[in-house]
Amino acid sequence: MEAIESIQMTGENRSAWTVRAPAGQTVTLETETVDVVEGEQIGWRSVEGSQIETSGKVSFTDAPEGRGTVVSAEIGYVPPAGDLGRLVAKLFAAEPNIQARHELKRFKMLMETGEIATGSYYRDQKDNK
Amino acid sequence: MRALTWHGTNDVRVDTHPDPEIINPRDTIIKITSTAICGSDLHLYDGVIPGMKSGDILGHEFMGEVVETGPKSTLKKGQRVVVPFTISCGQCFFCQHQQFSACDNSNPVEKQDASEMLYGHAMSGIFGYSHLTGGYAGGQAEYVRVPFSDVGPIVIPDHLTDDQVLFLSDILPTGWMAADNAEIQPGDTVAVWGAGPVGLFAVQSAVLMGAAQVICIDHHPHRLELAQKFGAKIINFEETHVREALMEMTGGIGPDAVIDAVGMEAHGFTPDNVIDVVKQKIAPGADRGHALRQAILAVRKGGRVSVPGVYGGMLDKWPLGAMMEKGITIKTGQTHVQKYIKDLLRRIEEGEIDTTFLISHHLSLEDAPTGYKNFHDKQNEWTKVVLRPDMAKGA
Repeated sequence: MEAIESIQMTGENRSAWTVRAPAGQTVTLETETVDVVEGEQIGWRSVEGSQIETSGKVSFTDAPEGRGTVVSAEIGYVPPAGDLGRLVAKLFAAEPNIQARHELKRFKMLMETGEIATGSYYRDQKDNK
Repeated sequence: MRALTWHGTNDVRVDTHPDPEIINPRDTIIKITSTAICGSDLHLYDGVIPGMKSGDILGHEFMGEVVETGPKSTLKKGQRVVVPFTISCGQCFFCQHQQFSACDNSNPVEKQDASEMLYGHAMSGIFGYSHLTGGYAGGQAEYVRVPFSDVGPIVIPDHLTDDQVLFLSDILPTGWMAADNAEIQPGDTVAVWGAGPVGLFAVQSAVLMGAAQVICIDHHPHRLELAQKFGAKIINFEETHVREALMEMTGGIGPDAVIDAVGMEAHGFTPDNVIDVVKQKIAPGADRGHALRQAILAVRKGGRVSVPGVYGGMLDKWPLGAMMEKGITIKTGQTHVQKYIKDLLRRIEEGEIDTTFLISHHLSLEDAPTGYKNFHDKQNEWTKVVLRPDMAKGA
């Protein structure tokens, strides 16, 4: 996930996130997992003190005829007010559904092949978009 | 490293670039020993493929020596390998079904949107062939990064020369798959449009698959002579009415199978093609389909149409009625190289297939722009150009 700078476990079902926002800013939030159904669903929601209010879930269902697993993501958020809110809005405004699709496709690549494809041919190549 | 670089229509140069590095665990780095200019590179040269950027390194037919391996690569340093032009993960639904050129996981996610919008589904990754197929740096260079190196590259025994095996990377399996898609039965007549490298290998493959009669159609006399050497009959479309000749040669029923090895830049002074040429000049994304239209009208009722020729965009004046009313089957696609490569290497080793006849010129990598110009402008004599980074400029 490209916008995420770091994730740290802070408790059994809690984690602290640092997300890169435009203009060199970062946004921090802490989430706890909720509505966990073993092998089927993982949900989360932000806890008090987070800079963004967010909740959502990732669910796993069998594809028809044994053709693998369908992974779906639902992501909700309420941006904070003020300057930071405008930055966060900008972060997600670039077609949030396309961004989510991209993240899901990267996840599929990682699960199926163990890596995420890149067309770059050296590590610092920046212009290959 | 030095590499042949695209700068715009009819503008390719050899520039200095950073050396490639291992990025993902299954990568290897190959030191190129031989790399060829493909007919489909000429589509890039002519600027008719969308999604190119100035600075892109071209080349998808290459081989060389493994010089670096990622932790999950199965190759070893020092091995000689030929690398398929299509990049395939080996693990997705499509690779599992041997449809390697439809791989779901080799085109980087941020590059998939364009082809998904154009074609309904994202294309796989291809070396050196625009950002629609990943923006991967190609192999017309001193070195290349090869992803999924445990799936694509095939190790070559020492007694075979580069010239004998280089074309396993693309044009030999492409010609072979074209004939495979033509579903040739004993007694069949197969007509092949285009005596370029793929067309010539399709002719050779159709003969090996037992076609009773293979007919090759082109306008370059030398290329038609090469087709004749494999036992093909020939039609020069500038001298002969193609469909009349094909009817005469098939007892009035038409060829059982036809192969369009021409693709999106067809020649011919016919009304449909003149309109297509104008449209393609105005914007990339318009295909010139004269050869394919002629092939569809020529094939017998209930016949098969195989299309290895490259198309990228939209085509009109499409003879859909002829397809339906004659009950034609069409098969096409980028080549599933990994499906065919082992069997074709065996046929080369056993002397059943020779590919070296095709090579008209060896040039240094530094002379690649000359190679592009002549392969493009002097198609009759320049049948195939192999670039060697170890040759001196002008040699």
